[in-house]
Amino acid sequence: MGDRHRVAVTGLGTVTPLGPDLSTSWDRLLAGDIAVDRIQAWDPSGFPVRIAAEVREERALAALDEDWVGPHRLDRRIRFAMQAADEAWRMAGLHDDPPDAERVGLSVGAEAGRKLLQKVSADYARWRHLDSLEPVLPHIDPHDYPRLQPWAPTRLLVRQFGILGPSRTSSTACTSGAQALGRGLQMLRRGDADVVLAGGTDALVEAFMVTGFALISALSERNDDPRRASRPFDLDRDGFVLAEGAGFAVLEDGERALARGAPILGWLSGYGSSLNAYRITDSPPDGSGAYQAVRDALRDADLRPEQVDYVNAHGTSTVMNDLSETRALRRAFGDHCDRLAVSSNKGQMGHLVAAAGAVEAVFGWCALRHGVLPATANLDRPDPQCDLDHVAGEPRRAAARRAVSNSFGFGGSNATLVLERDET
Amino acid sequence: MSAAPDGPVITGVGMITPLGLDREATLVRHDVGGTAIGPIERFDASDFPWSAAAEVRDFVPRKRLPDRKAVKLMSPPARLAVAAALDARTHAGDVDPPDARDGGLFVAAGYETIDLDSVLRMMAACRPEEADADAADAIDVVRLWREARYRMNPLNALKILPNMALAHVSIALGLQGANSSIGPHGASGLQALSDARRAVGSGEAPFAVAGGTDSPINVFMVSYFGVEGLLSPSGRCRPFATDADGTVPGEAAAMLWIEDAHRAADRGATALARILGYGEAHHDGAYGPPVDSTVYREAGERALADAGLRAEDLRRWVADGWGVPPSDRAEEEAAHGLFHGRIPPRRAGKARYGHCFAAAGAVEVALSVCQPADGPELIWGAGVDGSVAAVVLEPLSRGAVA
Repeated sequence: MGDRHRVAVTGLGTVTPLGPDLSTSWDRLLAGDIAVDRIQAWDPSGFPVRIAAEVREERALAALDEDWVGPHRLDRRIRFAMQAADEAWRMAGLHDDPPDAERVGLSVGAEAGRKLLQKVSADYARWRHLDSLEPVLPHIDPHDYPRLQPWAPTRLLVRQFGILGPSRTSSTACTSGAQALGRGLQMLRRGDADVVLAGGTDALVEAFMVTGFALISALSERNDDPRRASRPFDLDRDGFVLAEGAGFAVLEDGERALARGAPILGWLSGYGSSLNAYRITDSPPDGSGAYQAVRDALRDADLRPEQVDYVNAHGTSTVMNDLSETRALRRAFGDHCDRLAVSSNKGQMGHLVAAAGAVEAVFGWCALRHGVLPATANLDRPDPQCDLDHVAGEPRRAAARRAVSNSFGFGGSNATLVLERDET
Repeated sequence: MSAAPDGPVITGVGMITPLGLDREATLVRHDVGGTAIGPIERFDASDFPWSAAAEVRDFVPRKRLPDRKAVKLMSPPARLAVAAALDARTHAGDVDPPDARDGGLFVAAGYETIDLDSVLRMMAACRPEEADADAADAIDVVRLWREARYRMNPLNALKILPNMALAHVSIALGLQGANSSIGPHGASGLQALSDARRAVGSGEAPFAVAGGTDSPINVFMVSYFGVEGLLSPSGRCRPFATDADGTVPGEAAAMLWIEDAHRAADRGATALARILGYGEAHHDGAYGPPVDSTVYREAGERALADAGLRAEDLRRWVADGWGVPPSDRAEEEAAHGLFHGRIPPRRAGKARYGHCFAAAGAVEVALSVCQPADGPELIWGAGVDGSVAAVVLEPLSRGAVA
């Protein structure tokens, strides 16, 4: 790694279907709890897909500037982001020891606020019905435009944490959260910031998105047995389960973190990103794009394949992803792949899409830190074509030092992060 | 001008704008003068208080883009992005690069890439019959599924993802390296260029295609931006004019081919320009373009510091110039502060091709690469999200680029 800045992780936070904070989510992940259930936020009767992993318990939001936030009416993805970011910020001790705001960066993976499409469609319906815009105008709230935007959570986090350094919103579907962490790593290495708040957020469990993903047969239709619906790498897998939540990390220049005595929860030491350039919906069966991301992340971290102990897999539970990911791992790790523990968190909490990569990286650091690798749920009959060393049934005790966390998205963006245990 | 630059250089420019359907046509019309702003034809805006736009007309994607089947799955900004990227590749003369697998791609595009009108039409059809007009988010989900199942091409659902422009360009050009799809606003085109410069400069990618694409001429954008007070009721965008009354939406895509200078030299490509400096800043005031000069000035100062230049080294100021008076005043005040009263010649193009939002910054850089000033220039771009980006561009090739 030469003289590049080492990037420490000093704060972590999550909101997931498993729990409103990191400790609850992590405990329930290790306990094998499954958060997939019939959709409760709206009545899914009549839909071919009636299950999801919803966030049903939220913590109270940190104190907000109500005068400012009020008009923006926080949607779920923004609330999740603010809760998870606040937890990470607090864990890093930055409320008590605030950094120079101009040296703090922000990197967020997010998609659009789709729920508001329903509100906007109401405006549109009025216009179509009346065939005239004039009576519709009083109903139009111009704030709906920014609320819908992928950058809306970024904007609110800038305000809430007083961030004055560089900020970015990455929108690459299921890869967004991992790309956001990778972008945070680059901001720190390039000296653009001393501290970066990085993570992802999403809230997709609403009718339009279920419709869209169901139409392309991406979702599990195991409606009668929701707890067994998400089954990464299992022979009987039939699609992913939509989920929602957020994950954030405080990334910090390593020397700065050590100097201020911050808790070192792990290190972020590599990032690789690639494109499949293949099809909009599918990943290439040979896993070439994913392989390239893993390979580049290892190079970026200056690691050999055999120095990695654990893979927090993208493992969506779709037939093609799990097969393609397996082939990518086999190619990237060669013979070492047989000694590489692999698990996916999506069996228990579904697919958090733009938040997935961030939440799973957070769990990856937890696994390294606590020496226990969470299991892949519902892996009853491993697909022979997904012949990896799966952690299945029970979490596995392992003194793993390094992990990679994979994310692959619709549209063909791939991202891999290299996570390390703290040994300072 | 540097004779043999190191680091990332720009070797190709692609554009599709209201002024023309490719780089050459855009430049010809840009030279001629006049405006491409006119009445909206994309939808019936006859009873809208804001009925003008700068539209890309006569663009037939099936004739222009290589994969005719894929065209059906592309929203308007994705089509523009692919057309501009192909134009840039041709201009760069880098048609089949052996290192395409590592080629980077950084695209400013986002929510506007959604085929909003079709999505909203479908959702509007799914309003419950008895819906209360104020029950804004009421939706008959069973009807939604029925409508979608019978009326919607399943793959159309994916048009809603903001990274589709990125995806389609990557497929069309075979680019498989470092990438990002950057949230849509007026500063994001410059952010994408900065990201590409960084990726090439750090060796993360040997070359990269970067720019922005946007097509904000739909019911949703026009009505919401209009109600917000940002659009011109007169239909004339007049940046910095005393009678300016708002901006006008424009659609465009601009993509630049950015590669390591040695790679360019090895393949005999001409280095046209380079991004010498980049800076950004943001305010946390109300949504909309900045009305406080500080944020423009900070972004400009950071770009100059990054470039290692002083304000007096600049030979042109490419203004953001929304045509929204408070924002124009803020930018002008920032320029006076930054240039200490000695303001270089200014270009403010939105009067001619509207505000192309996520594409705006890339369009300005593309025009400046092709029609360079006689030295470094400063290009500003601000988003409604509160961010302002600034680029210092240095020409490396003398004279206008054909």
